[in-house]
Amino acid sequence: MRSLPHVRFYATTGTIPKLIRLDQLQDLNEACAKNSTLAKLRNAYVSHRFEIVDDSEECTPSLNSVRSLPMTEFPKNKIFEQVTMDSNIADWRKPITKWYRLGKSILKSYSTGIRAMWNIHRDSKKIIKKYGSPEQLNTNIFRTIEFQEIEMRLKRAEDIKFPLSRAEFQECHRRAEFWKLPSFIVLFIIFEEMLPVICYLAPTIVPWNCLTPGALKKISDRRAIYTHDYSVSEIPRYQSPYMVKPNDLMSVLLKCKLIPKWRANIYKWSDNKAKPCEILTNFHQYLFVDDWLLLRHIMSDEVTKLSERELVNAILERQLFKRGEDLNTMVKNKTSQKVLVWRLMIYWAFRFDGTITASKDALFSEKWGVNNVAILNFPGSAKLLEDKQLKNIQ
Amino acid sequence: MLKVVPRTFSRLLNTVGSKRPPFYEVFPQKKMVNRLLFELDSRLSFAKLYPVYENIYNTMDNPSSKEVATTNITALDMMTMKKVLEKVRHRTKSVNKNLLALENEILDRAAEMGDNDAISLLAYNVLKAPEKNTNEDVKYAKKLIKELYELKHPLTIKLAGDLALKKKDYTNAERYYKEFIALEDDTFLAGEVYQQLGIIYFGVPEVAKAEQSFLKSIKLCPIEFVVHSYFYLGQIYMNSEPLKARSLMEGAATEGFRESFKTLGFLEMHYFGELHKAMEWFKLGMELFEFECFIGYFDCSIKLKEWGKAKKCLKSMKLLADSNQVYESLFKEFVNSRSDRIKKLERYSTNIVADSQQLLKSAAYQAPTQENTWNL
Repeated sequence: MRSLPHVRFYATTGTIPKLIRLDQLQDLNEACAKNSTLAKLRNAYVSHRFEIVDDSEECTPSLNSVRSLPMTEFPKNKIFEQVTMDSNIADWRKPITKWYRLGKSILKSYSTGIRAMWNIHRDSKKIIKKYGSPEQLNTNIFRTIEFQEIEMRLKRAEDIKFPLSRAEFQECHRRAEFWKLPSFIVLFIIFEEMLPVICYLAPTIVPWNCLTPGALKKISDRRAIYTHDYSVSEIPRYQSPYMVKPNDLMSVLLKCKLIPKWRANIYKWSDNKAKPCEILTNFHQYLFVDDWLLLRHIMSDEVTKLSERELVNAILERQLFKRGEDLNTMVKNKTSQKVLVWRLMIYWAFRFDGTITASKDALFSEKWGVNNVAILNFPGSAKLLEDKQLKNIQ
Repeated sequence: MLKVVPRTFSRLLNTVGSKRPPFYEVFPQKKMVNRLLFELDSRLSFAKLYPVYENIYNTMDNPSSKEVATTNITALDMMTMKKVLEKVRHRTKSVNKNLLALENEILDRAAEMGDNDAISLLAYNVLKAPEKNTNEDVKYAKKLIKELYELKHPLTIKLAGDLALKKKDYTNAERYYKEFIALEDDTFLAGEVYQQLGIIYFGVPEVAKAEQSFLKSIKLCPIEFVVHSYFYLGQIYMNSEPLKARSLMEGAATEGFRESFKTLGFLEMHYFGELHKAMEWFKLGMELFEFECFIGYFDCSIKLKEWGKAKKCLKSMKLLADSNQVYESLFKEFVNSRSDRIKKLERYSTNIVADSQQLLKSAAYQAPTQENTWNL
């Protein structure tokens, strides 16, 4: 009886890498010597084949979907400065003009966001129709990658054909925010200029691409899960979604905003165990596909220009931050931006080193076990990298 | 005497007996035959076919009375009768030599009446084992097949694919199967062909194509004919959709598919965390002497702290290892990797049958291989 070579792997069996320590430059060099994926990523970043660009620069269109993400910088300072510098406005009018222009700018960003969300919904309709739903899309793409990697491994083929670009894939995932539009428009009509205040107080009612940096900070603080540093040998043990304790499972789902609280209560009340597990599985598959798409692009010969918005979103989804950290402020500061990039690279290096994605022989599921959610938001390093450490390793 | 013996036992006696038993003892129940006739969309009812069956059965060993048996019956009816017996074999998963003889006899008569399917089947039976037939028969079979192939007879094309697959000529097998699909792609037979195509693609590997073929196969055919499709699909979905894989594997297991038991057991144990369910699957596998099922059962027992069961399992494994060299090396690896658990078993069980210390000493250390999933 023939069988797929990976099928019998249900638990972590391969060589699991040690956690990456980055206290000194020597640590980084050692980590790169042991972890070829980290070395490649570092090389790409240092040689500017992988870089982060702001909204004014052109990013790689197949990777970024900037229109579906929130702004990284609140326009207040910029507008205030412009008004201050504008000699055509009389001094006595300047304070009112500043606030008027700011309000106008925010309302404009809301209307741009609403239009963009409408377009995203329309553009991704065809793809969703082909796959059934965003959840099925994740699973199907996950499976497609797996199939192609198996074929690549056995046939020693070079190329992997992928049916979607990352931008399309992400837009299919983010299109769910479209359903916030009706309630948001109603609030927009009722509260008018007071809407930004309402949005600040209750950021979850706002479509994702209309969020202000302050509102995003509130959301990120709620999602933060990083509580302690790890010891180097502390590798998370294999855990399938079905092996996670029900309370922990619900807590993860709520933290990652994968389900609303009322639905979590329904699952608890009806003792539905399979559905929450499947939601977590799906999220694991979504993260895998997203990581895979980014990593493949960075590892190729092409130049990868990732937008600041995408970087913030990637860090937020993977929960590679501490409570209190303002991701938008960090991404605007060059040093802190590097910290974020390194966090992401370490996360990828830990997960993907030794897998086919990073040009070795094991499938991701072979390395970590089937749907191993224990590494879902695992940073891959003993400590979450900070500015201090970055100075040491540079 | 036989009348008081339950029907199944009398059938069993008949299969081992040398003299052909009475027809009414061998023939399946009316209800079952009726259902099969309905499924096959038979022109004639049970009441009309039963005497024909009986007549053929009673005259099987007497060639002179063949004509009497098949009056008012067409070749198509004969093939329907043959298919009924074939389905009985599949459904009951047992072979009664008398019924098999009856089935072959019906096939022969259908061929004599000019049914192309029957001719094709008989010709391929000759070609499958040419060494058991005369040169003249082989030559004639080839001639018939050539003629049928030129007529684009679907079953002949399918059987050509089967023959090529048997000879591991995958390119030609795929070509014949595709030719068959072009002729008919919505029949039971097409379901079987899709299954074979899936297996070919799976081996290449072209997994996406294999998946599509298996999906079409299970859509067209009842499970008993395409159990491989269920099993392979289960394997294909194992990493991406374990829930779906489980239900497909369960389908294969209900048909008694041997390899599915251990896969299901380990899936339940490691992924779903259902140790009791896993033990049930392992138990079924253990009945078929699947060594990995013993390992899984042992691990489940230890996890559930059912020391008695673990002890019994260890004893059985030792017995198996003593009788088989392949199992012996597996057993050594198992003892090495589970030394801590075996020690634990000793601590909790005062009357351990297998002397754990001796076991541990006898098993020289060997590093677990890469493919060794459960750190055997």
